[in-house]
Amino acid sequence: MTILQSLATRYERMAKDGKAPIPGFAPAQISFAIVLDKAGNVVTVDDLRVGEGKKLRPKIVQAPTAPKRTVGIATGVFWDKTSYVLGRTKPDMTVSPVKQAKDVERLIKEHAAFVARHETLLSETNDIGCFALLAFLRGWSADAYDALPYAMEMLDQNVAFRLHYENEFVHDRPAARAALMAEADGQDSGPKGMCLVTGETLPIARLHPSIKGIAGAQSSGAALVSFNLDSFTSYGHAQGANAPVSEAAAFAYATTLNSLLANDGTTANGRTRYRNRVMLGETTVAFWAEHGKAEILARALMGEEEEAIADDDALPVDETTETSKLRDVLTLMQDGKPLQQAAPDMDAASRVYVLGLSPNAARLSVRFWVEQTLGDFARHFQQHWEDLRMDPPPHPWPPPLWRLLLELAPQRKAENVPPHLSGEVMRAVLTGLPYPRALLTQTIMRIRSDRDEEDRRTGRVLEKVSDLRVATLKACLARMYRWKLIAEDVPVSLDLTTTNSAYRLGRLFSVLEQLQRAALGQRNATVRDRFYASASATPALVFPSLIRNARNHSKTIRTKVGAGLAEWFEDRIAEIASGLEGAFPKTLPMEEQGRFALGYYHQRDVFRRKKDVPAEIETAAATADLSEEGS
Amino acid sequence: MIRVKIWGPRALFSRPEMKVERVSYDVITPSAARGVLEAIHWKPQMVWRIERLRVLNPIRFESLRRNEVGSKVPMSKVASAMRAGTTEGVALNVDEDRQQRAATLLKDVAYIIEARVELTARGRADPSETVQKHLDMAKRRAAKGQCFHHPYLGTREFACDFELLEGEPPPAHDSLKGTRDLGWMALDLDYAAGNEARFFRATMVDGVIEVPALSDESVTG
Repeated sequence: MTILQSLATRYERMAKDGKAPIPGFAPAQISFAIVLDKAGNVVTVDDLRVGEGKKLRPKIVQAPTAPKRTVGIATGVFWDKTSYVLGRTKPDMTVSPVKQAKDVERLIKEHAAFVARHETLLSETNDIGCFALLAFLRGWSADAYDALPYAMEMLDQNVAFRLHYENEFVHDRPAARAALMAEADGQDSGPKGMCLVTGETLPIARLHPSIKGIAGAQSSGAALVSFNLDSFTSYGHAQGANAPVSEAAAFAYATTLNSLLANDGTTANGRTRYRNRVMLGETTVAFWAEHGKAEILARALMGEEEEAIADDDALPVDETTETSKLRDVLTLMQDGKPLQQAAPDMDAASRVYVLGLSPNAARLSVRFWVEQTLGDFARHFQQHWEDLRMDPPPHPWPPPLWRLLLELAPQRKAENVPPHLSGEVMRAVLTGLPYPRALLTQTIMRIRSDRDEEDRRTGRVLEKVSDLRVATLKACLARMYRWKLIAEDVPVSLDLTTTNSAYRLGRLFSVLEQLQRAALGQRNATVRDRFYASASATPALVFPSLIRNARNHSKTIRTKVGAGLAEWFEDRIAEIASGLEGAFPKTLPMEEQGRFALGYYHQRDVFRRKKDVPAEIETAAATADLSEEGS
Repeated sequence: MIRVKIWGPRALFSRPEMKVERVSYDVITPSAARGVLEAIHWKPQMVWRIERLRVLNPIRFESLRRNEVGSKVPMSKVASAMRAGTTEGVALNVDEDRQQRAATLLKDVAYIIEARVELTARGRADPSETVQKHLDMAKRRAAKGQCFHHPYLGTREFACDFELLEGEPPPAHDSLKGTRDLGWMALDLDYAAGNEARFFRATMVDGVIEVPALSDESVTG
């Protein structure tokens, strides 16, 4: 199905559940309701305003769309401000008497327009509510206004009507809606044509409704379908005629998309919650599914919003109970269990839709659009996790997509994520195709140009060779191998046997770094800070001098700590170098630089976890003489 | 009938509703296929009728942004330039009218177009014109790689290679197996009826899309 079609289909589902707004209705700010009896006499006036003290705000209710008013007289239906509904307004005493007289004249016209509109609209009504309204308007005189309750406060506010002993507004009565629909049908609403969404011949929308809630777009909304410049039109067609979509379908898809993008209340810790939206860099991603259950799982797989995860390494969990069940499902899925086993009650054949949108001037552009079954959707995410999997596992696990993308951004800020990359990575994850090569190069570039630094907000150290960056590199290579783009697979955990020189060089580099630390303690600029970039890209230029330095460090250790530790290091270096076949490669291509990072990561973990490592390293590093700057 | 295999690294068959920030159809449209054949052979005496489209490669997308212009050179300016006999003023200044537009396009595509020739009114009026003659000409030209202009996949930037296919078409990729509803797809323009676009409900069965004739009653628009 096309984007618009699947959105329109979802609208039908929303409508069936009674969750969709009605065409011709929109939120309106109503302050008061006039309560009528069946004969159209005023029983009382309800104050609908919400809030406390002076901060009273009108109530937002779904009501017939407000008229577009500029200078002319245009009346609303079933509700409006008092000048139209009741023929009264607060007179402006500051203007000249001539102008005041004109204002009064206009006031009479405005009220007359309201009455006349309802006379035509409800002329054939036999509904008691509509009839009561009509009777009220016929019998109403503006002079009676001051006798109404709340007369002063009500002036120039929006008022609607309600029948005594009934809860709903008059405009909510089925008869009122039917009358409005009949009126809309009777109007000559533009040329008819074949609708690209439904295939039926219907009035064609000239301008499509705007979509709100896309990050970076104009706050008033941007259009998904628009032809706002000459060069976008073809064969002399104007606006919507370039792509015939019926008014009804345009309303349906826009309504659905807007509701998918809108926030859905707040979470327990006060953050805005979005049920069907995640942000990936500057791309706003809306997703939905055929069934509510599938949608919950899709949301869990896509990952919650940034910072919604409080304890950082747990699975995305919100306060609802459904999620705790979901947690078990996700845990099973992480172990590679297929969806049918992990969640037997989910329909693997139900479809999941993911739409990535980003703003471009006043328009929206589609970054990616993927439609697939829930089974495939889950399988692709499992594949993605499998590709990212390393031993030790990266942190957090499984990483939400936005976390991966953040690692690619300078200063790890969401706004710095390369815009093009987020969409392409998402597409690769959702389809199981190779990740874009730019992901590999961008990750390597970040590792090379960043320094280790402290996150000011959390106080955590942001490493240049971070877990997630190495995991990303590993995933890129693993997937390239699966698609037969490279000849050699990548190891999940420390591989002592591989003769791949890049991997070995990565390990060697880590050993040299530890050796320096053991000899000299924590320096301001370590071997890693100074040489990582060149060591991984041009080993032949850097490693010889690093090895020379290592001999000096070894000597230092020998005199300060003892021969045992020095020999242990020398053995490690010899063991790793033995697999290098003599020479250091002049340059390493990007793929091999990825392997270098992986080798470095695996070897570094040996030191971090202190397994099979002499205990003296730690004490040596701690007691090393910091005054002596040997390099 | 003629079978021409076409392929290219990128393709962009814009959906009409998403032709500003372009999003491609999943597969080649009949009108784009007609354009490819017309690049190889076309005469005013004949028209190409696309009968069947075969998709060979998996459907893959990618997105990118390009610089384009926002306006068109007005017809009236061209007309007055023709009257005046000078091209003065008939120009667009790219630098002053830049529009960045995103495009979600297809990657690594390969299709087989199956089409036949029909004579136009002009062709039928001339007894020396036959369907077979045009078909043979087209086949000879396609076999030799001849074309009037280089054929392309949807938009001019994405040129394609082509070859005459003799014998049985190769099978579609496994990922295309099954029946897929592609939604309402542009069939072609009805030039006789005020350049109105015509649409058909495209369904792909095991990588094959049957294309109805413009006069078919399932075609609307």
